[in-house]
Amino acid sequence: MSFAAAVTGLGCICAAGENLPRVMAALYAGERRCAPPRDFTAELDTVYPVFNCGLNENYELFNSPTAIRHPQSVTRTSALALAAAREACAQAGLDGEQLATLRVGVCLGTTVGCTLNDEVFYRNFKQGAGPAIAPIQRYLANNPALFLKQALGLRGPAATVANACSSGTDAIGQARAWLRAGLCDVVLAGGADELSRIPYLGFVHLLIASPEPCRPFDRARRGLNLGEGAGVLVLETAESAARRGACVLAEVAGYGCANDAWHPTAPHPEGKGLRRAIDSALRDAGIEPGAIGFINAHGTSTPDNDKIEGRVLGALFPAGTPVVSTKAYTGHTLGAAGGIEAVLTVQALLDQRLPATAGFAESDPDCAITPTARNTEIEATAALSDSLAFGGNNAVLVFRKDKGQRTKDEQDPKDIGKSSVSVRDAASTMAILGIGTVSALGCGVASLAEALRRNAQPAIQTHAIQTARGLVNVPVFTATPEGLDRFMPKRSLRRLDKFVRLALLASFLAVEDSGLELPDRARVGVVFGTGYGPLGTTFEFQDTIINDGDKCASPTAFAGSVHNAPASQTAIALGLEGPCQTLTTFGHTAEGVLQTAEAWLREGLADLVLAGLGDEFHPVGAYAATHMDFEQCSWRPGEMFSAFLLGRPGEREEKYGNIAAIHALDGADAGHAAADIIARHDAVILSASSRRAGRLDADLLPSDRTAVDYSSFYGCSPTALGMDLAAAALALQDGAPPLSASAALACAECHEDGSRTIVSLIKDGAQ
Amino acid sequence: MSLEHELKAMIISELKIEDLTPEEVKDSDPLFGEGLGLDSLDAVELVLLIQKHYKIEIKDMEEARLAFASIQALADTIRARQALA
Repeated sequence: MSFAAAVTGLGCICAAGENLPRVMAALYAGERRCAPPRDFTAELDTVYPVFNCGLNENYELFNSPTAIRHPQSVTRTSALALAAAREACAQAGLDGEQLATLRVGVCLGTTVGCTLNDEVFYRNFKQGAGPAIAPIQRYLANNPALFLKQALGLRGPAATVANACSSGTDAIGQARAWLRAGLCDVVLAGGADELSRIPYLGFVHLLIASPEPCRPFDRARRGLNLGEGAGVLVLETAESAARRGACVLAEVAGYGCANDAWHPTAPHPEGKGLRRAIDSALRDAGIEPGAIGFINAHGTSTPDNDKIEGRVLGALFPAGTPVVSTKAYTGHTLGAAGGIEAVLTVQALLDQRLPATAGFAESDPDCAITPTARNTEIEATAALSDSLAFGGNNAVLVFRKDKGQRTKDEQDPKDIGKSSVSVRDAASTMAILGIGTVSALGCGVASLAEALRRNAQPAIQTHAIQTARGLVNVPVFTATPEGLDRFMPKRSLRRLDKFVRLALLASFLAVEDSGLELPDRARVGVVFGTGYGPLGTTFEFQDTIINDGDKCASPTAFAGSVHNAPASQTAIALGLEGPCQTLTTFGHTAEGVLQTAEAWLREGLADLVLAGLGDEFHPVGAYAATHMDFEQCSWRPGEMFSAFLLGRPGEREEKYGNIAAIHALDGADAGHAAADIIARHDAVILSASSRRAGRLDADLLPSDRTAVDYSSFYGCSPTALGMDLAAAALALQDGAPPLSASAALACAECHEDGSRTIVSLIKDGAQ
Repeated sequence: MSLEHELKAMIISELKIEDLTPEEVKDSDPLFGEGLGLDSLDAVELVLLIQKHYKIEIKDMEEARLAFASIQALADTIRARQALA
């Protein structure tokens, strides 16, 4: 059944203007603000222009509904996100009180905002200069979704989507799925990204940055210009909008995403994934291609993108369907692009007017479509916005004009203001069909089960880390991906870093463990989560800059440094062409990954989902840990990747029982609510995702319930819940002590912000 | 060592093509597709490697397409540019 999310607020900040009215005025006036980078320089022979945002120095943070305690610790990406979110909330009539009392979630796409790319810090770290860890603390405090959640005092789900250039579009699709699943009533959704020297050098060396202002779909196009900004929409259920008396601007009527399973940076030559994503979004919205009044294209201006995207759009939509690329005014804002373009698409739908695609002059017969050459009046009731990304991700949204006036619903708002806890349960069941793990306890579930049963010694390597207090030895639970050549030819491994190998091996092992032949690979989705992303390659890219200069930044390392590299390489290696998503929300990552898998299965976007959770070790992480009450806390870095082949219950032989619920708890009484949920299980595994490792309200836990903390086996990481889930599934299956005779197990974690996540596992048939 | 041989060894080691030795590669072998089997991401990496090892700048994919037609073409491009410098 189709589901429409109401759009009740829009906010946008980018080079074209600091709020949406100014942005639209610039678009319709044909004003382009493309200039050399303002905040950094590069030692290159050519200056590649970018779209700098006019956001002022102190980010105007103090008007936010809740005060920002340390404005200097706010990243530009967070500030951009906050600016757009505030504008969107104001239009939607969401004041500080409503934000704090309604069930409001936040889902944002980003790329720079989730990447630890402080060059000065890393240079000093490499030289053993013992740099202050403020940049790392800043990074940890500025995960875009978690930042907005804290800054606005929200009490709903929070997830940051790191799907490279389709992140913003995917974040809106994800937000709509939350509303559909009833996880919250309102979501702030979109994307945010700041300009940074790191991706600037990356795109220059991929030879897709243009030395002149970009020309989308033009015969003489020479590449993209990077940009920065944020675009945020307030989405809510129709009931919530009616209850609040909010004016509905438009609807998010459809969403589709599909992976090319083709190449880490190049789009599929026939745009295979994009075609499927468009089909799936149109089907979801229940409308025909002919009903699409205009398309806001990805239109980056790179030779390849515009050719392939143009051909797909030309083939799927009636001739004469207007196409615009607003990147001509914003630049390519990476993780923000999908959010900004969604906002501009809705506003154009309201204005019934499209701006000219600036920079476009001459049609390219190779592209099959011609974008708007001048401002164009339109009669559109529906519009489509599409995004293509590194890793072969394609994501598509369909927007529809609101059908008509509603009368204000006079019911009392269903707020949670009087309740001290917000509970979000995704209660639909998932069957665990296969598990693959790679950790300090070896590769595969057999070795994990054996090690837990025999109390085996994990593989621990000690890293001597130079700190201001001298050398500190940091024990690291180390995972070694062995035997990958059993699944893949050696040649295809050559460019893959350790993190990707961990993910690939866990994935292959999970599929092998299930004993299933993957039938229709277009019906298999991939959703991965990581706290820190590919740290090794992130720093390897910076190494090439530090060692050989700006002219020698490695494009291969840059392409490998994106957070979605493991998911997309897995999609390529296993030929999985269904939806593909990567989430990165520190300790909250596992919750989002499982919710996403559950939503895809329930909504029928996929028949099987490969869900993966993992993080790799890097000495920078150990260096940071030694500065953060390392001796006092039990947090020990662990390298791990766990993968799960998940399906709908009852459809296949269920090897490991079911994930019965994903509980997420926020608020002052989250501890008591968590204890109540845990009491319904035979035992609990305390997850070690944060420095609160294994410290889940010991006083609240029922004394007759077994509670175990496995972090002494595989260490701690933001995604440790995945390993705990694997251990729990094995315990339900073979009942090894201390969890023997269990029919229901909980994996529970307590986050730094006091919220809790509890995943319930039950034996097949048990309740 | 000839420039051709040097290039083969550099490509094999830098692009981590562990299943080939320089001796197995012919001067006339195309770098992409049928020949060494490189792809578009290797192409941009190779642009950088030529910059790093030979201080020769290949500005865009048009130039790259010609220079990367074969080992021979690449060696000739480098010699021609070095002669100009």
